[in-house]
Amino acid sequence: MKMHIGSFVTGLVFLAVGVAFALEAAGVWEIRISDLRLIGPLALVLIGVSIIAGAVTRRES
Amino acid sequence: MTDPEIHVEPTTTHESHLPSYGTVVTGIILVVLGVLWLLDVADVLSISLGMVFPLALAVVGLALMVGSFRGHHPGLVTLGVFLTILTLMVSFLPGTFRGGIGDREVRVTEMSQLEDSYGMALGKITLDLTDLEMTESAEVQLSVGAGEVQVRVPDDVPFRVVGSVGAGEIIVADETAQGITPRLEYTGPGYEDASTTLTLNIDVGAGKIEVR
Repeated sequence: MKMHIGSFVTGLVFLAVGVAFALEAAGVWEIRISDLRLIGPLALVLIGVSIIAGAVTRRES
Repeated sequence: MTDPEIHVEPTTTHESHLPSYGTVVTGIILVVLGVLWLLDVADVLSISLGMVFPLALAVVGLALMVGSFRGHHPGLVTLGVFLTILTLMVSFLPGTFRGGIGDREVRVTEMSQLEDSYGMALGKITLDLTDLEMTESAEVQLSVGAGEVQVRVPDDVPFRVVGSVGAGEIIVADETAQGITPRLEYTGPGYEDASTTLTLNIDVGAGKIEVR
């Protein structure tokens, strides 16, 4: 069965964001608007990881 | 002589009758959200949007990860993007869902009048505390989706401000920060040692914060 790497990474991002904000709502930590500046570098890392993972998956199949 | 008419029976497979994975997951999420809402309305549970949207987003993410082994699910991605926007709005700009639109000027002179939070979707909030006789420490949250928050603090009470803006400007006393996602933390003189203090947490999506 072939894995759709884009869906997997998107799901991982949604899961991470959901858990992060659920913990914020529970008072575990605080996330402010200014923390959105982390989105740029994090997005680059995720895009890079998904490209590498996609390449590896294609090579194996 | 005419060619025999070829009649092709439409082929149906068992799989084509099955609902798509994304549809089933979306349906389950809507049912769960509906039940939680009903329980909230019936006062059985107290549920905040700040918790519901992130949890729904996490479920969609998990469903996408599991479903990625069965192909692409654009419907779930769309739902996830929608829930992400709602999550960010509820978390960063709680006033967006209850504050309304316009200009709001609040003058507080007694501690009993001071609320824990003030919010607005679009417009300007002016909180005038200059005549407030503070008898105990207070922490106030102010949030505006797009617009301005202006606070006039009492002269005799040390104050601290944590201001965050998505895009715009923050002015606190003689300090300023501006640009994209500026954040300014200001601690006034005597705040650490004073027994009565004022703490302001201010978030604005786009616009300006001014505390003087």
